[in-house]
Amino acid sequence: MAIKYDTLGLLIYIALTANILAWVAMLSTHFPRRFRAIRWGVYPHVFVTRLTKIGWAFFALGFVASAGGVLMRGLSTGRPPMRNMFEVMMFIAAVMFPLSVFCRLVLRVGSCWADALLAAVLLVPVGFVFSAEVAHLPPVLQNPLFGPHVATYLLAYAILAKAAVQAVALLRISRRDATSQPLSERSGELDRMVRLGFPLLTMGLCLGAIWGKLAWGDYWNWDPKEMWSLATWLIFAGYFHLPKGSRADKLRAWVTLAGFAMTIITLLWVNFSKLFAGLHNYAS
Amino acid sequence: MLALLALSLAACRAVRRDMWMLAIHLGLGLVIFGAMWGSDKAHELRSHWLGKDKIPAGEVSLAPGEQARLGELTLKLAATRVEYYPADEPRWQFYFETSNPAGQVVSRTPIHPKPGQLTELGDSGIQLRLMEYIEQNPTRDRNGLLPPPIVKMEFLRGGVVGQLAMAAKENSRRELLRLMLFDTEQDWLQAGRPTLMLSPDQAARKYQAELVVFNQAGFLARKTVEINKPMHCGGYHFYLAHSDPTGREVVIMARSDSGLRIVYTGLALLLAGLIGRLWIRPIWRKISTRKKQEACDGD
Repeated sequence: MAIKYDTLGLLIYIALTANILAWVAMLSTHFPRRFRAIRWGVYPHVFVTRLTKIGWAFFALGFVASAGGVLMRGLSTGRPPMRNMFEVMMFIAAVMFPLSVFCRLVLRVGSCWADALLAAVLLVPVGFVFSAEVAHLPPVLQNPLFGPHVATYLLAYAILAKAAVQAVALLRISRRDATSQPLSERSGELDRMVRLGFPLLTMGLCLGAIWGKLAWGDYWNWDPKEMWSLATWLIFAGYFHLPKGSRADKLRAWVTLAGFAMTIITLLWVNFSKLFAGLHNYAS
Repeated sequence: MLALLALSLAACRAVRRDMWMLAIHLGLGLVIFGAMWGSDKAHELRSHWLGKDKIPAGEVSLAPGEQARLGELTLKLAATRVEYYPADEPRWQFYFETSNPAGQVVSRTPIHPKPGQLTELGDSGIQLRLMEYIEQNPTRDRNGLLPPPIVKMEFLRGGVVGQLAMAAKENSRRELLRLMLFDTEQDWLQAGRPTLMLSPDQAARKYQAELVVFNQAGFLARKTVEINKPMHCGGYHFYLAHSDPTGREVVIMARSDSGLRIVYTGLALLLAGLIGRLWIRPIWRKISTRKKQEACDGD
């Protein structure tokens, strides 16, 4: 247990609380109408609108606090705050709000409650498990590509996590009715998320290859983390080779979930497991 | 895989007709082809058929002032430099190392000997007694490093006793430990190359090595290489692959550049194709649909 008693810790705990409250407020709008009416005895529509607004306000507060934490960390260390899992998770948590807004307004993809939940889940280990001790940047990480490479990957992971939520929703709907309108809407949302995330995943891979050539002498080193990220990339590449149409929707959802599982292995398991010791071990 | 890609390019009309799809698949093909072109086997084949004497990769260990041959080139290490992060409590630390028969370090354990007391060095059966530990003037050098202490130690192994006085800048510590406690080098190797090191316990900020490269005609290039800043000359990239904590010995790695430009071109094409296909095209389509709709509404 590593509780933080400084300003950074305060920002993290504010962000965590705000994201949890945002999630609760947003999720409660998804309760069945009858339940809402009986429980609160108000006209559901008004209540839902208010709850949604409250949820967004908390989500925004969470973003301000976590972005403040990321900024503070970056200024105090004088480098992009993505050196270890503490900083990486704080960064993804901070990214979730702008990503959620972008997806809602531009891509017309919802499930914002899941974004708030993901931000909250990521902030739990940041607040209570990982040490906030500042680690020096070893010579191998002192490269201008450090920030772009890691940030691109983290953004891709956040987007693909959102795609996985759409995939689960699609699978839930398809169990009820295989030919409904919501199914094709969900399928479109899933498709838009994967289309947004996959080029970023590729960009991260390419930047990593160029950096690998500068730092280690080879653009590809058969390192465990490289292998898992290639596996992730191949799975999502496979997604685009699946046949179009509603019949393949379920398959696309399963492929997305498999790809998301790979991102978790790449981000977490490879860093924490001694089974995959390799060139990327400084991240753990 | 390359054949599969070529087949897909030839067979799939959608891939051929869509510029972005073509870029993606061509890019992937180039990455694979470039990797093959730069492989050890391709170097071997080119050497056999075309007589090009170019090694795919190589490593040399150098101390400042030394030079060594690497393929058709000669490398000379002019100087080294290590910079350290300022530490709250900078100190020098004893480490005990053992290595496998190939010379690779298998264990590196920090030890904390107390003056006058015997300290076991791992499972090696060697004991160390610190007799004197003299701190030097605690003024950091220009690289931010404190000067090393001067230490006098006594080693015991079986009935053999050896004494050693050393400062961290002394670079024959391995040999001394071997000569003091082991009859032959073979005994020392079989015991797992037990080695005592005294290294700064500060995180390194920068390792630098000033490298001079010569070919058969003479001087070719001179540059200070760092981790992340290799030197490029004569069709090779030269890297500072490893440096000991005080910079007395560095490992320079050379990598042939064959196929590198092909790979980078492939990566650029792949990325451009994906961005075009998945980001630009949908936006473009949306804009043109809107324009058409507006034109229809106007009519």
